[in-house]
Amino acid sequence: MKIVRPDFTPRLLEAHTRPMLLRHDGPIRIGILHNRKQNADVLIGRLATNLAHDLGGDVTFVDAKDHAAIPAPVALLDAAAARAHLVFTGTGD
Amino acid sequence: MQRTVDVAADSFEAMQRLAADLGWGDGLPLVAPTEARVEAMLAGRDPNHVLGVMPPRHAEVTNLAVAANAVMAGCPPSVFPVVTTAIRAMCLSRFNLEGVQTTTHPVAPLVIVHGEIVDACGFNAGSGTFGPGAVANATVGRAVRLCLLHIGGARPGEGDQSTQGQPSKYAYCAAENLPATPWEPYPASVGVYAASAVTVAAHENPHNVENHVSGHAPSLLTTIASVFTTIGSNNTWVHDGEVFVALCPEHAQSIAGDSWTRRDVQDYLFNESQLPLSRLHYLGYPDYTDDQRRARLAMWPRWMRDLEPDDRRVPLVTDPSKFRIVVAGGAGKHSSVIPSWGQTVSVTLPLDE
Repeated sequence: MKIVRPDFTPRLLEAHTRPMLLRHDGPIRIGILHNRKQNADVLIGRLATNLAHDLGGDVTFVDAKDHAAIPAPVALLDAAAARAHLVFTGTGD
Repeated sequence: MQRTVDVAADSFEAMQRLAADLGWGDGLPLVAPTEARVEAMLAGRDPNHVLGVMPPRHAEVTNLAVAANAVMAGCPPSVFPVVTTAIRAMCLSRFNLEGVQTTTHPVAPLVIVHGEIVDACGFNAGSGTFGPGAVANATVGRAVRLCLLHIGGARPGEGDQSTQGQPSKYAYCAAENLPATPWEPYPASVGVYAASAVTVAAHENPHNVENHVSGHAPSLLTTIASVFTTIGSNNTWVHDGEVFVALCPEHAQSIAGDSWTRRDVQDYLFNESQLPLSRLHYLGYPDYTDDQRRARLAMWPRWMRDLEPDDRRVPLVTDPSKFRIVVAGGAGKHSSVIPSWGQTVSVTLPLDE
């Protein structure tokens, strides 16, 4: 017999942000987008800096959400996508 | 995604096995959402109607999926409009469900049911309204949680990052005790005039307020304010938060007996629920660095950020209307304070058809 899936959805909505920079030859560009919590910039910043060092790349974008509890606006995500191949984001509780 | 999935048999055991295999449920036994049961829950409503988009999965929420979750929770079809109204309200952007679902805070959406639907569907607005015993309260609260888990993708440790969670994440539904309310109905106090309505608010569990002695507004409200005025609340760093105060009928009658209005209650609580600025700054605690103090300040109103951190008392919410006053519960002298997660606004909507 059949049951209706409780997780059924006709559509998952993707964020409408610009695509990330295409990676060509040259140093990788790494971004940091933290949420202003007290350790977030430190933790994410060190991860990004270490990776840039290991891969011979650069940290080319550093910014923060206005508030930890509110999603990042599309304009901020677009800015990160325009300036980095890879963006570290998250929290630092 | 397929709408249905095969289950070996319409048996209790088969449903629980399937749920375990697919990662469904809240840990308690589930009713199988067979097509016949879901159809009965929908009662002719359009199964494809979209109620909103539910984060963090960012899934469109259909009547069909909500009905499946309502069946799983054990809802009688009569309460289905309460569930859909609550879901629709939570999906409005001002509720900030993205944050509510994913924060490390224990917050859970509280559903408060108002008006004619309370008696019509057997919601318990009296003794133990926040607790067990009434099918309507229990199953509506559970159905909302199952929707958040299944449609929204808020599995603990995955979409839901709550450090400890809280018991109200199983089910959190109460009803306004309108006959015991000495003021206008709660929905009217926020501009909603309807025979029945539903409020959703993203809050902590109720914090008990005991006062068996006071018979007048000032002393009762001083006790209530003291329960809210702690430095461990999210309101110490997010001043936009609301605070629900669920007055028991006896406390409400004592306050109204002094001819105090709901607005008088809000004004008093606003002025009484204050802390010294130096406490909010954690002055004298060397483990708080300047950076950490600045991080707390970032979400304060400008006028508070610019004050010297002395012993002057400052409010924990931006204005008196942030205190949301509703009457709930039965006999006895226990009210409750229900602090918010912070960056969310409660929503009250007329009941869906």
